[in-house]
Amino acid sequence: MNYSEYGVDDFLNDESFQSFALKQKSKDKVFWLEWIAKNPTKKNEVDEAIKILTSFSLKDTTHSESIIEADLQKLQNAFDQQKKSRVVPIGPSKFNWRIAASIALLIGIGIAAWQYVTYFHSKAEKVIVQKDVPNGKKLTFMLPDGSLVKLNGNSSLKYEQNYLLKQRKVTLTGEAYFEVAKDAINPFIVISGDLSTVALGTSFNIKAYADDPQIEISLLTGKVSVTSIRQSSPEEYFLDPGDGIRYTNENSEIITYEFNTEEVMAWKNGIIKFKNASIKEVANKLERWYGVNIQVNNPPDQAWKLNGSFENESLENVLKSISFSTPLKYTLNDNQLEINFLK
Amino acid sequence: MQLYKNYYQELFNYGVRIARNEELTRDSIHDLFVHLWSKDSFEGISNPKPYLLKSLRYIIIDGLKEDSLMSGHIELPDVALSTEDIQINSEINEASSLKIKSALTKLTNRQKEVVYLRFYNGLDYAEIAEITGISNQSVRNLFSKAIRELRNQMLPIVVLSTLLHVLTN
Repeated sequence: MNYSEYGVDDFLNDESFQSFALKQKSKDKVFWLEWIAKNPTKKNEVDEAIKILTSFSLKDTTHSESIIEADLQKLQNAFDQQKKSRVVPIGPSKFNWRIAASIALLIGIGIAAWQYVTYFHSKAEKVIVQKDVPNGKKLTFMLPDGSLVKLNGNSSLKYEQNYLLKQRKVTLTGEAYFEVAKDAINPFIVISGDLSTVALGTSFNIKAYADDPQIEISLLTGKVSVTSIRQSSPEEYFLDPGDGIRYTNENSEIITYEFNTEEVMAWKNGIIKFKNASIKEVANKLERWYGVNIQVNNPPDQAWKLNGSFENESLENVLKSISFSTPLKYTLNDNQLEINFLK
Repeated sequence: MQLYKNYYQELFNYGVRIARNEELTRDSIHDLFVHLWSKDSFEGISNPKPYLLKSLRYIIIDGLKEDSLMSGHIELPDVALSTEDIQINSEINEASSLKIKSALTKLTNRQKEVVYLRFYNGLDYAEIAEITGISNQSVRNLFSKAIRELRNQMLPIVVLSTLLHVLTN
């Protein structure tokens, strides 16, 4: 479709554009925000189309909670009764004629529903593919649609095998860098903890380890939308390249900020980087990076922060460097690392 | 139960527009869910909204036919979209609001239904075609005509606001 030749009427009749203007689907929003940014000459047409589509909205006929509750109760009763008797009750009732009339119709719907349901069931035999990366390892692979994923240590990615047939949806725990293959129709969705990230053709990094108190999403190129999947009508955040989002698991708080590319992407390039890192952050990172379990004895106080980067260094060298500034002793047996800080 | 709670409002609002009768709408929603729950497998449907609306539509139309047979005259479903249902964007002045409202209420039944399902329920053309039982292309045409109608009413406003924009800059 050649959008650059679109007039107002074309925009108005474009389903995807309507969906964008009416704030219906994230993928359309992502697509059009990106398109509008790239095509500033179309601003007038776009603005007019949006103005027309948003000139009105249709109000809810509000229905009191008590009526809904009453109807639900009635339904529950009918359902319980049906369970007992295993047939639709056709006892004498005020609405008898309607139930009777509905039965014939419901049989028809029943057939449709049955076909619908069996159709979905045949599809529902889902095969889940799971890629796991242990501590100390990294894994780069390609998804069936051509998107590239680089998984960091102690991370896993899950997706359905028939991933291409439906939406492109993956579930991440841990940290991964994505280079999403372009597909304007099928959005690429990453679920990580409470957050859902929707992209069309972009590259971004998500850090969502279960033992970290927060999730961080950093956008490198393109555009993504991030929403919380825990709220029923969540706020939607759109990131531009260079934007990062930090979600605190405990209180569901979201903040956006400009991130440091070098810092975020260091892991992907074999560089372990610390910036004002606490002893806990350091230990977590080293555990994931080198595949060890770390026990810290006599840890330094809150004020202790580590800065520095190590490119393809051995664990011992990293520990030695740290010991220059903060005296420590360590013992490494198999995968057990014990660090003793000396006062 | 979750399905019921999640969709009750939307089903009721749609139902009452075509049934123009709250009692019939409530009974029809009742019948719909009684039927659904007699089939345990329904939970597996990933996108239940179009399916629910379509089923409700059938049950209501059927109920209306029964009603009309009893009272002796046939009344086909008619989409109620009154000026009270329409909320005009606050940036639009009163004279234009009236024009937009009148344009919307003068749409044909089919157009109203399509506009309603597209704007209020957020369904796409294919889903609307499925619910109303008309072709995808017909939905497209109905919607297109409705939007053109709307645009014609809006034209002076947009031109005016653009002009104001130019003048004030």
